[in-house]
Amino acid sequence: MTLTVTVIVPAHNEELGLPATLESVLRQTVPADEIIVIDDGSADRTGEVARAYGVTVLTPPRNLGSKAKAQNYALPHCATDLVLAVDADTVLAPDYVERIVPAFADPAVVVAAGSVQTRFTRTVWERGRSIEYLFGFHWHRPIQNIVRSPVVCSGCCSAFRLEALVAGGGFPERTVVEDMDLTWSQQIAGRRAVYVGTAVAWAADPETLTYLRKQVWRWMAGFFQNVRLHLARLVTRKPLLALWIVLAVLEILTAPLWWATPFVVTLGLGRPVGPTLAWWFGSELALSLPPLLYGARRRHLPVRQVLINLPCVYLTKAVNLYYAWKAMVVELVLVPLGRSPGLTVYEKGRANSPAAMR
Amino acid sequence: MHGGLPIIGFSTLVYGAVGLIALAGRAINLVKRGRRP
Repeated sequence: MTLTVTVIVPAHNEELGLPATLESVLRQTVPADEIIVIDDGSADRTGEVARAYGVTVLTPPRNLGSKAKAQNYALPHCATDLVLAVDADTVLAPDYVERIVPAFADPAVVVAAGSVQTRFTRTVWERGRSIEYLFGFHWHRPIQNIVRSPVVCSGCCSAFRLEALVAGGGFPERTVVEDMDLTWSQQIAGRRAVYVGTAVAWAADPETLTYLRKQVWRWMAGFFQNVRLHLARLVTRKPLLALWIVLAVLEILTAPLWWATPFVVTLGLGRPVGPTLAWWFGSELALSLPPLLYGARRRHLPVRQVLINLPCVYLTKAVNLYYAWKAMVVELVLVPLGRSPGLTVYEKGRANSPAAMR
Repeated sequence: MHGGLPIIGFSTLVYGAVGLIALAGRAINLVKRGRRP
């Protein structure tokens, strides 16, 4: 049976990023049956650019305020078996649809997504993120998939079974990361989420610290919103998924100790700097290099480039750690105590810096 | 959100252990199936 696909592209002020996205969608080896762009309150020429590609353009009367809401606006216009949500700054490999659709041959599968790589590696932030992706998509995600418990199907390129999506009330709007919310809640309900490593998409990641901070804050706040919402049910219904989440939280909790270790050992205990740094960085490299080299080989990336980008990951990790702690305190402590509303405003950084897509 | 952003590496080892156990389980199942008449 051939499954039909609608591609939906939520777009807010994306006139510069949209052409590459739509060209990649239109060049698919298995073409989509319908392509819908949601021009969500753009102040630029997003709608005009989309229409030039001959796709359907939906224009809500006002900016809906989040990606999930924009995607939900398009759902009544979808009449295919599957819906593939693609971010307006993401480019799909030509065989993305061809690779992702067979995952739905299993009727239990309701969401599937491929591997994400960084589109650009111009700044230290993009280089650091490229290492995070290379590691995550060639170690964490395949192992999560082997034991049928992916932590998230990336929202920039996820395909959904429309019937299940609609039955569940559409894209969840209660958290600021709808992709993780959906991935967890569908698995709690006994359905399957799948990672398809052979399907590749390239996302435009934050090129400035300002944009990165906004994105990481939203991701981390969203992660802990989902922990608050789902962890108790995950422990009983999807224990391996709960294990990955508990591991992530433990890493966040213990990271300051690990990062402080070289300083404590050298400055506090008076041990020599050279050997201390050698074992600290040695253990870091021993744990991270094998998956990175495997990822580089799998994606045909030059190893030299990976090694050059590797130091940058410590900058993005520092940003991740800061916002992970902030999000943990806000969403797991202050929100339950009624001291903070948590993060409720969906703000996408690039909409304010369109020049970055040039 | 893409998840799985490693901050430090100890989860790498736990992932590796779980992956190995899962693969070993699959291999045992394949062998068992192969032995069935």
